[in-house]
Amino acid sequence: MLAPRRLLTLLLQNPTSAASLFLVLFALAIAILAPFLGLPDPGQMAAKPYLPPGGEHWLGTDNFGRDVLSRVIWGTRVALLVAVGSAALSILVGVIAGSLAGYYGGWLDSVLSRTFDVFLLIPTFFLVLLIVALFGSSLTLVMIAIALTAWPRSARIMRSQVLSLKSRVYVQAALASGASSSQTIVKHIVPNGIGPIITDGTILMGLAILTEAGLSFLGLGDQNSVSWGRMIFEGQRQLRLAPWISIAPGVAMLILVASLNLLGDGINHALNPQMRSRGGAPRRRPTAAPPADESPRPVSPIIEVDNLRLTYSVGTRRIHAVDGVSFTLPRGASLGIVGESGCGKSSLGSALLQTIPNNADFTGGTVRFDGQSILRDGKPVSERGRLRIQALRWSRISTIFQSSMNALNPVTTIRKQMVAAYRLHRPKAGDAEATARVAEVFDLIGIPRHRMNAYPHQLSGGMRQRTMIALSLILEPDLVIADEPTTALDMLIQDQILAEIDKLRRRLNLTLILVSHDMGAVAETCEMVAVMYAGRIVEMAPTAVIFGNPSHPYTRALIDALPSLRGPMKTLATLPGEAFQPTETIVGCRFAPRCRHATDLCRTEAPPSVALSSGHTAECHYARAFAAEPLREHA
Amino acid sequence: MTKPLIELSGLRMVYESSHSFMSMFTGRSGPGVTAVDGISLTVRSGETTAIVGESGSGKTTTGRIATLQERPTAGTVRFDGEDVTDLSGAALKRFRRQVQMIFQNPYEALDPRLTIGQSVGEPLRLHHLGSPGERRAKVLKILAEVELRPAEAYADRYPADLSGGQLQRAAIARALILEPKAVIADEPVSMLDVSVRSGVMNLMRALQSRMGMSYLYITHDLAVARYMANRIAVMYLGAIVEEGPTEQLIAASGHPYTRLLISAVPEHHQGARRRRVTLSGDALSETGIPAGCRFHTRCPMAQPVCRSVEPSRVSLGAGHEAACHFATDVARNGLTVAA
Repeated sequence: MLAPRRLLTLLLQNPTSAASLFLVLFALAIAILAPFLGLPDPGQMAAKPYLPPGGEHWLGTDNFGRDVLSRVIWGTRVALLVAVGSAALSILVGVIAGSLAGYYGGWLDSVLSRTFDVFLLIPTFFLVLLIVALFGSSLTLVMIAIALTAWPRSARIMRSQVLSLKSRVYVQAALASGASSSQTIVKHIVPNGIGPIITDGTILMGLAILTEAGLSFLGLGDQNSVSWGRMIFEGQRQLRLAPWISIAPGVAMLILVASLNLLGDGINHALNPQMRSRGGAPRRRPTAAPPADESPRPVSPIIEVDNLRLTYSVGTRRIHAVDGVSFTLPRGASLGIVGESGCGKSSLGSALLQTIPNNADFTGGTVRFDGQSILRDGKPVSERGRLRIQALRWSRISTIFQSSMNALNPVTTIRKQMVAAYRLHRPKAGDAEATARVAEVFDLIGIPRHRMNAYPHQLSGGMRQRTMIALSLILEPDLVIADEPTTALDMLIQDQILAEIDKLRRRLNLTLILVSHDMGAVAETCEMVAVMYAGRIVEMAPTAVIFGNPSHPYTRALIDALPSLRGPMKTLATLPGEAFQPTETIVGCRFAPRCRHATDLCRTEAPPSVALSSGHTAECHYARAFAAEPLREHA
Repeated sequence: MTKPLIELSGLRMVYESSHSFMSMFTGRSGPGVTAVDGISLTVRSGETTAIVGESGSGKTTTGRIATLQERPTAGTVRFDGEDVTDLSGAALKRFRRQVQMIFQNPYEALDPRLTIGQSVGEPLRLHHLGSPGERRAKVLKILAEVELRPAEAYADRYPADLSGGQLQRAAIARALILEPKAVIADEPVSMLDVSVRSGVMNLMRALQSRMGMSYLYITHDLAVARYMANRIAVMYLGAIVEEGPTEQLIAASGHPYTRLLISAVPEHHQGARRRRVTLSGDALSETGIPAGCRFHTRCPMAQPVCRSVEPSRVSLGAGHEAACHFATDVARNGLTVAA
């Protein structure tokens, strides 16, 4: 939950929320100050009846000669009293009941949940009518009656909040360090879970005002208080003669209830980060025409990336997730991209595919695939009204994600999904041909053919992920971009799938880009490794060189920080500080703040890309010195 | 050898499948899921014992039972020689002072509404230890111990202002502020970045040598277990299939599953391209524990006897045991697929 001050700032940023907050506070102020405003007594029948608005009586007088303005203001008092009273009561009961149901679960939850359901089934107004008719009509009773129908709303929200909060680590930790259940509920669960209930409370307040007005309109409200509902009830008989008598309270009610609802929306919007438009709306990006001097089809390299830049806009910040990346891959190569979370490795993958989020922009760079330009100076290349990448995705460049295995449609069989997908790209293929092709790729990745007819839930996570690999290969792509393809899987399965990917790559002469945080997985699957730090490739080399002769201090630190299963035991090196996301123009080397070897030169001047040996480059002023000095002895 | 601190014996944990509304339609309300199937394990005073296993092996449940966050269906938990399995009330609260927990997810480890100082000091408050001033001093001291310096500045920050590594350090501070005798750590570094992991692991080791507590370290990563632990217990489908001193267990594993796990750990050192063992079968069984040896469905060396007879633990010397019919053979010759 947000701190109150931050919430207020967010509310005031939105004009609607700010206006509704102001109106609610204004209503509250006049309700509290009503006795001190020097208004005529709202019950006093002193003036002439049916005086139209104007003069001494701003809103006129009613059929008994009472001042309408005064009655509207005193009515605000009643409306807000009922609203706050019944909302507070229902929230109190709801929070207690919901917490108990959610926290303790079991039979208590069953009993309470059914009780909520029963109360929600009762028509609100009917119950309130019944109570008021049976027990009389004081304001307190009206509040209780409204709360009685409203509390299950709060209770249900609280229950679901508690269900998600009780597994939070800090709740578990409090319990593990000796807190009792009630201490934990009061101290950690309710304060963190009450946000949506308060939000809903503003809506409840609006409902309470309307319900009270309805009761008063029917003559069942508190006879001794000045209520908007009563005013409307009394005024409706004189609607033609003196419309102001009922219009004034009606408008007051409309404004207050609308403000409360809008305020509720505003709070909800501010509290719920997903509703604050992070991704932004989809928009059209400028495109570029293919370059004129493009030669038809060179064979290799398969992909050339030059100075690629991708920037995210988050609020007012601009994060350069990919900050000038260049590399070239020959056909059939395999490149591992490693780095810590936030280093831009996944952004690089989606930038190559041009599947970037709405709040991201290409800010430069050129990408050529198989000799064809697909990105020119930060603009996607379009030909005859169609983006070139669209024709390439999946058929020639395919992807495997960590969550791919969850992308299968649960209601149809694997075979049907794969056949449909295949025929989408090969419309001339018949069912039989498509099925044959599916069977082929199943053989390729080592899943028995009969499993094709299974539904996704009948397969384990590893099987589903392998199915998705099959799907990514079905159109015989030239390039596969795999982003953490095995991270969600268990060790044994992970190892197996990586071995399969490696085998397939060799057999089909695919080019593979494997994005992973796992240096070990990359070491065994890829021929080349690129190490990313804060948006740039800081070192790139053949795998054996990266691990045998790392020449960037960051690469060296990463390798020294890895525990080994086979080597001799040694104390792991630690890296000071934390990875950062490049937000502003960086002066000097981006790794300098964490580098043990940084000098003044590193802090002032960006390092050049130093070519060390065939295919080995490192962005460090002292790369040559590091290359000459062997990695800390593993002895 | 130091004295036993936590002794788990014959633990079983069966989760009853709930008789939900949906089960009326699906007709499924099976016999329940056995998460832990009769394990015995000892954590010695001042030592680190690691439980290594895949997800679903029951390693987390074992940790939750050792901290009495869950009560076992059968079996006993002894702490410092005393049977604590059924503790409640004040005695349970005393137990909680001695045994603390570090969790996997640092981003949820601290209440977002409380400052770091308030969260770290919460255990002191819960156990009514010291005056507010003394508590504050203690919080600052422990924050400095976990290298969150300057401690004053960190104490007044909120979790949202800290990185994952810093949050996990704060969570460690909270676990250690009561000076517990044992800490159960469930994958404490697996969600952290590589460059931050080694710092947290080194910190845990340094704190142990300074304060002398025992760790029960739960992980899926054998290399991490090797770095942290004196002893390793390998779990598969709710049971410990092999247990022993770290180096011996890794160098001369007596259970094919351990061998497979070791062979699945990729090697990043130059030139050391390992021999991969291909595995038959797929992920952990969802249909229950197989009869006979629980690993026979995936074991590359399974024999007819493995399908029918559950292997008992075979001693391989020096407190090293493996639950395999061919343990001695596997320990000596490695994985050999018998003809």
